[in-house]
Amino acid sequence: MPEPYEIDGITPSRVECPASVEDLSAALRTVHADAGTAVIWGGGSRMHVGNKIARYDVAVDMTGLDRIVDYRPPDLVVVAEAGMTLAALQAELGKNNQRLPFDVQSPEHATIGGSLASNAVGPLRGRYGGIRDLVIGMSVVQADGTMTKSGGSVVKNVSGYDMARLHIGALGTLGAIATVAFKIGPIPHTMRTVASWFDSAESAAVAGMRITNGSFMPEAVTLVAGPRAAKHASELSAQDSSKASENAVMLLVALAAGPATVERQVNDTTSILGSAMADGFVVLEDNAQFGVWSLAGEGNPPPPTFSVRSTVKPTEAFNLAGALAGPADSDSRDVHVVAQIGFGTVEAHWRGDVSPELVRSAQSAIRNAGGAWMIERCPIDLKSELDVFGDLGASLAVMRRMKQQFDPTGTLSPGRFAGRI
Amino acid sequence: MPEKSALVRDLERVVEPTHVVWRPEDLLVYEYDGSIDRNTPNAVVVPANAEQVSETIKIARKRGVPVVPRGAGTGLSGGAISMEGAVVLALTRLNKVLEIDKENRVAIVEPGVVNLELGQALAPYGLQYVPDPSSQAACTIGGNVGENAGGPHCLAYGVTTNHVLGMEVVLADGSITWLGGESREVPGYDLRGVFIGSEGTLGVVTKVAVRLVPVPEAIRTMVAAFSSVEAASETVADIVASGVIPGAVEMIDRLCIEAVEPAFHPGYPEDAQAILLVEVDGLHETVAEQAELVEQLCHKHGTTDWRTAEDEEERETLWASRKKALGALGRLAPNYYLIDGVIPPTRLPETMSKINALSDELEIPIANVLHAGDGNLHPCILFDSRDPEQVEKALIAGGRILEMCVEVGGALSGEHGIGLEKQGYLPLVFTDEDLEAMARLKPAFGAAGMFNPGKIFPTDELRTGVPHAAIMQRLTADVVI
Repeated sequence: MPEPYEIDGITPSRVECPASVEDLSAALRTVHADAGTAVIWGGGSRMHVGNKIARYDVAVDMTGLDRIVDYRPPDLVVVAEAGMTLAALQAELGKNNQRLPFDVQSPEHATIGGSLASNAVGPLRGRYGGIRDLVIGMSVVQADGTMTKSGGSVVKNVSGYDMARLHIGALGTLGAIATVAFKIGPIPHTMRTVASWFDSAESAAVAGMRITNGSFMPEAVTLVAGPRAAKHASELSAQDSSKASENAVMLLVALAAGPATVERQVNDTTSILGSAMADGFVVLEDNAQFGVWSLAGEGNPPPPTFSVRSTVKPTEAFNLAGALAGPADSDSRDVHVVAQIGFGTVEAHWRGDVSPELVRSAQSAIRNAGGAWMIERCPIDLKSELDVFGDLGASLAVMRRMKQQFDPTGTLSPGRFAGRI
Repeated sequence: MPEKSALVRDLERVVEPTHVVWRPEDLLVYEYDGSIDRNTPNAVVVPANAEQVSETIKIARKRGVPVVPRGAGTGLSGGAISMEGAVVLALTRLNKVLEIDKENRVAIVEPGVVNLELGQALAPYGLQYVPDPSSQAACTIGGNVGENAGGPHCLAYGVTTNHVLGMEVVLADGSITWLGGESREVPGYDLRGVFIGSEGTLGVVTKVAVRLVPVPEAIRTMVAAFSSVEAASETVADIVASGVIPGAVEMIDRLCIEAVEPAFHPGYPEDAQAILLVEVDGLHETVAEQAELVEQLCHKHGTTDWRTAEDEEERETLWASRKKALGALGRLAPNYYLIDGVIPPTRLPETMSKINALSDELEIPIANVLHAGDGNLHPCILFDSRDPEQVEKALIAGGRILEMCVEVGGALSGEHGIGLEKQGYLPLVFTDEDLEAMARLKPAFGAAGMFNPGKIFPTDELRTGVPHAAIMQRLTADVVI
């Protein structure tokens, strides 16, 4: 069991639990004045992301900042504190039949700030974009405790630089996200999932691209490959006595809109699946569809030992997913691959020993697909050997200057970001 | 006879001499953009490629002269106006659509490509680039990136930043680098995201990778007339609150109707005080569901005339009346000053009333044309720039409207940017600390003092004095009465 607030085997000497933005500011001011270092801690579900931290004195636990600051349902805007969990936020919005069209693996733990800072991924990103596309304003406490804001709480705003972008995916290395304003939308009236299975990622590609590029605007198109996907396909195929190969990959399509639209979308999807020779498919309704979407996560504990993520062109996503899932007879088959086709994000999670060969082959598969890679999970000793952000080229120089500008003393998670900045 | 400066001679070694503009009479063309402001540039360079952009920047840097990137000059906040003796880089020759990837829905274009021409190039593929500013027949994609441009269809689909995947940019040291890329995400800080909407202050864009979406299979454009602006505003607030997110919800008021009716003959009822243009798009089934709800809401608020565009020709006429409304205002007054404030849609009814009251109080006509669905107001203050009294009144009215927007929790600009026009008002929404944090982006990009100086950030004079004083001074300096 890891110690509370542990990152890569390091535990802090102190934990701060601010209950307000002012508290957060005071906490960081103190750390800064003491020439200490701090990690901004949300739900703790994605603290494995990033390079090995160079020094870690204080954990700033954000979960006390868990309130809705402003919620105006008719204006489609909500402003919430960063320590609020996504589940709590969605529950509030759900009371007005609204939602933030963004999903993560464990919304009951994942906080708003943590999901933004670690740029978390969910199946809805194909249709609605990444979470960065839903943010319209943000307040941030700088490394020295200064409180700043940008954007606002209207859906369209170009007043001043779009500073919020800088903190999305920054792992809290440029400031602590304090409050966030989101553009929200209605919960669709009807939702269905069409779950299909194919004998390989290659054979799923034709159907997958036609569905993704279809005019009928699916809510999500996700490909899952690996033993978990094959097992699930086998269970579903048993229900209607269709076939599912031992190495089946699954294509999950979510459709959400008004009832007439969804009926049409289901028909269009299943007709494409029929002509693209899917080995089988089922149309799931209501709660029956949620089980299959659990495949879009990294799976039950224990967590994977090695996880990579890359965003490539959608046409490359199938090849990449196939390559990462590996040949059927490979002994590295304890792998689970999830690809959000419309967005092009492919994640692969392995369990078991992490051999240099595995690392090399994953890297080369991603390179062949024209993608940049990011290692999200790996053993600590590997983090000492390589930069988990990969090679960022010339833009790394700008990123270094950015860190220098916003956290010159290296107060916030030193070493964790790209280039160990 | 004016003489070429050493700078101009240097620049003529980078591009052919015909592509360096330096004679005072030639520079007049580059004094303006779409705003009411003006100032003369030092010189203008019209490069043919990124390397020439880079060389121009290196020369300017060596000589301590700043650089202002310019697209079509349709911007409305003074973003393309050269200050502090800057050289203008006019990117209009970088005008090629380099690649259209139909399967992956990405196009790579040069910054001088005109927004509408990109749309035309994409049409055969059944794809579109969504942001469609009203100036789309002239404005360029590079300018759109600089200003994070919007347009009527941003309500459902988002603004430029949501549709640009990456850009090749030239930084202050002349280096050429990509921010973002052709895929929808790259690891590291989102430099692409902070660069978009930075109003040409961080670098010069030389290629843009844009995200494309399919042309919707069905579109329905509806027009509803109302006997008051308030009734139309309440309808908009109800539509947004209902959960239907139409492709566009636009409004024009009585004064605008008077200008567009004789120009485009859209056939609006004579007694209408406000017209709503609502467009729903998507699948046939969705369009049918949403159009029905929109129609019900319009009737609930007492629409006096309701119709749906029968065919593409009628749809185009209706959109022309909206997108070209600003040009038609020339029928009413020699000049207009267009304000770009944003408010929460639920505050539309009261804010529109206040703007009308302001027009009465200052005795200056204000025509309203707005992206009503997302609360993006575009009050057009009508005046004659030859009359300093009217100029000042227009500037005062503009400031008062921006204050109204901020009071109800809105923003200073929805899509036009801050530029020279609104820098004096920035302290209404941002503290010194907020602005100081923003200012750090310039050194982070290595751009301190190099690009588009004198924009966005308020000068000390503007912070303490009258927000529109500097513009007033520039505008009235050479007025011939």
